[in-house]
Amino acid sequence: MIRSRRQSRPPPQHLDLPSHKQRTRDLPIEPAPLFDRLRLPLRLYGGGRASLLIRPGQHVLGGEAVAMANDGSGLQLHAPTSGRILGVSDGNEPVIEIAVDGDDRAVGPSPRPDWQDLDPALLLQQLQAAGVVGAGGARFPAATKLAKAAVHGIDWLLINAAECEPHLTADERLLTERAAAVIEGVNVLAHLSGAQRIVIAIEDDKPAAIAALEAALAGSDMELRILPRFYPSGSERQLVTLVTGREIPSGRLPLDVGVLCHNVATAWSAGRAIVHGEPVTRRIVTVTGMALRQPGNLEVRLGTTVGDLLAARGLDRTQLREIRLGGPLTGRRIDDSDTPIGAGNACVLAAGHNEGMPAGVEQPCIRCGACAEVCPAHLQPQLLHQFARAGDLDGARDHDLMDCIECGACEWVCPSRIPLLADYRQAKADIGRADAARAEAEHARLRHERRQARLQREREAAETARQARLQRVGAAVARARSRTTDP
Amino acid sequence: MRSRPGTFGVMSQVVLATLPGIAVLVWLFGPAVLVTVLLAVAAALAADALALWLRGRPMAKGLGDGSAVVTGLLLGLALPPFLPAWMTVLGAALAILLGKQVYGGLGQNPFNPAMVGYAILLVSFPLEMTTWALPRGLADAEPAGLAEAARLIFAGSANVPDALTGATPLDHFKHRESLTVAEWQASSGLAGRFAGAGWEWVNLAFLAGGLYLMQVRRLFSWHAPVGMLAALGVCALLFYDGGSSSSGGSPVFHLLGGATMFAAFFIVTDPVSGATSPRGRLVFGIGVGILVYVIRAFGGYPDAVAFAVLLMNAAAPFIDHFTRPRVYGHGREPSA
Repeated sequence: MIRSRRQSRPPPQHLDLPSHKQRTRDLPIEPAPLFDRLRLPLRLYGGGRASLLIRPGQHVLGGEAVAMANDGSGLQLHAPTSGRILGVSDGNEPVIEIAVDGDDRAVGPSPRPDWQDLDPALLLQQLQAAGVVGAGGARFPAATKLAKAAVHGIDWLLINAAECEPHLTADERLLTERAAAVIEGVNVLAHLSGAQRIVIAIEDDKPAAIAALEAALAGSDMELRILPRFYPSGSERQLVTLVTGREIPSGRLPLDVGVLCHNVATAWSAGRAIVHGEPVTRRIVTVTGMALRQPGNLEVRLGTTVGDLLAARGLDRTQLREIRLGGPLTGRRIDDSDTPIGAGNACVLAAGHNEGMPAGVEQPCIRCGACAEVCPAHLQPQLLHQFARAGDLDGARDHDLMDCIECGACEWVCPSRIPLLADYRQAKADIGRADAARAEAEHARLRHERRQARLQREREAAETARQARLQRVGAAVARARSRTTDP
Repeated sequence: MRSRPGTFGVMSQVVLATLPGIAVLVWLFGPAVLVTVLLAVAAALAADALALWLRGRPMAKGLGDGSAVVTGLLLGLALPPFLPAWMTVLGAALAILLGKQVYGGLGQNPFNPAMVGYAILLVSFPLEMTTWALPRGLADAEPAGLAEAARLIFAGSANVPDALTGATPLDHFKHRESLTVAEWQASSGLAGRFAGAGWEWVNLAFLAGGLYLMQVRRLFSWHAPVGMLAALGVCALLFYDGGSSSSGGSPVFHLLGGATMFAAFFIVTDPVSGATSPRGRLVFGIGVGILVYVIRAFGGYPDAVAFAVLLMNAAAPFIDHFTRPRVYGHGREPSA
């Protein structure tokens, strides 16, 4: 019997948002068309990047490894279809340019139904080689996280299917249509993490996905946790606390309180990689917005450009306010239609004039505190705003800006229409840079001190050697004298 | 989806919520109330425009947020209806200039601008500021009509007939000499059913408008108003002593007397000059409530809201410092 439990109340600090999911939630996943070029992003989690494994000009098949992470993790990127590698173009973001040949030939997958008998270390290697990364946005390599979990010793595996941001239905469709494949992946993650409790958390506004999950979980001892709909239920820290009752200390990870979190789409790609031997080359993306004639949930090859995808679905520029990669709160505005879709992007939003963050002329903050009422991290955004605008990084840090999860709830409710999220991201980046500069200065100081100490030691050693030499010479002279005077 | 109000929407709601209170005031004291309120609003807008022009700031954006209208309105409601026009204009202009714009405009002011204007007028013109219109039924004449009221206001205080003005009930109660509360109520025409004559209805009307803002519009949380009213009520209870000749007045007398409800829902709730966290706002409100009682009972002024609020405004950063909410990930478990 599966244990399915409802959590009745959201935490006091949260936001109720219009969902806008009805536009795409009933539309089945369909394959996106094959475009004549792909721009596969080389930028990896946390600012790292990957380098090309293939000589430019060479032809590759779909599923062939084309790039490898520079950090030695063994993470690989794969060609999403057959075509010719044109090379790396370093614009704002480095990408591999691929000229698609249109034949869509691929190397055959190598399924391993007996994967459970394999050495876990080998399975982790396979996950890295298949390029399985966090699909929720951070793109952290799943195998690296699993290896850390093994070191930390965790007891919960929490699969995040909350999908709380408006417009997004990619995870919901994935669960509704491919629940068994997702559970296959959850089994892989559970096997590799050694977790005792496995919980899948989902919001209660997705009855079809819940029904599919319940069917797929029949006979399993995994738990299904049904959450009330609120924003941001899917934020990792908030979800961990809601489900396990454990609070993650500032600056720490869920692993530090014994919880391993994975997005539901990550679990799906882990299952494809291990059980079916398929590398990560596509993902489900919700393509929606009032400025789009044909919204939908598309299975998109990684590296497909936002421009190609929107053009294929009928972009109406007269209705367009802005294009966002990601949802209306946490996504970022895209001005370059050549921006590619990567492994962490679940949504492309062609926002109409009345969609997204409230528009309007920015007014001064009146400290109304509406932001503090919705902040899931219990921060006081009105004070952080003061510090951020005044450039007072110490004040901002002292009021725990670094604990901001960048959910954008504060900006959504701000009556003065202040772009709070952008301000906080800027201030956080500035703090990071200031810290780096401080660390660099500290490093330089230590290096200087060590050099001074070394020079001092060398001087002392030279002096000691000189004294010793003088003593030897003196002794020799004395011996010579004693010989001449005393034959 | 686009229902979240901007600053202008917030200000419009505040104006709307004062309407019941204004209606009762006009019914009690006649159209003089409207004349004074409109004068204050016009002067506040003009002063704001002047300051924006001098500071080289965009005029439409600065005036368009509606905050100057609210400042003028709140000040105008706090002033005696027959206050000479030039004093009202001066008070409103100083409220905007010294209360708000010198600090950098909306959102930057540490003190409540309307209360700054009120306090300046009170210490400068104590006689005019403590001479209130007599409520309907108590004056020897009917409340002055619109034209008559405007003429009296623009002509200056010397021309307002004594028959129309007098002390406020709070003032009268305080200087009741050796009467017990019951004796005062029986003898004074200024004593009403629960509190001061007429003022109980003013207070109930502002309470209704305030509850609309708080419960229906959710413009502010309950913390500051409830803190103030509870503290005032508790203080009044402590010093009531059964209504003897040295009694400070009953809790109901204080809660429904003077500017209590107006202050609790329209002054103490000013987010800019108050404390900012919910707990901080509760402390802020309690402080105002205690000070209102102390000044009413032991101070030299008939009502106390302006000084109580200004004192607590000065304490707000301090309150903020000590009432910071616990941030997620801090404090419950040993941190890194």
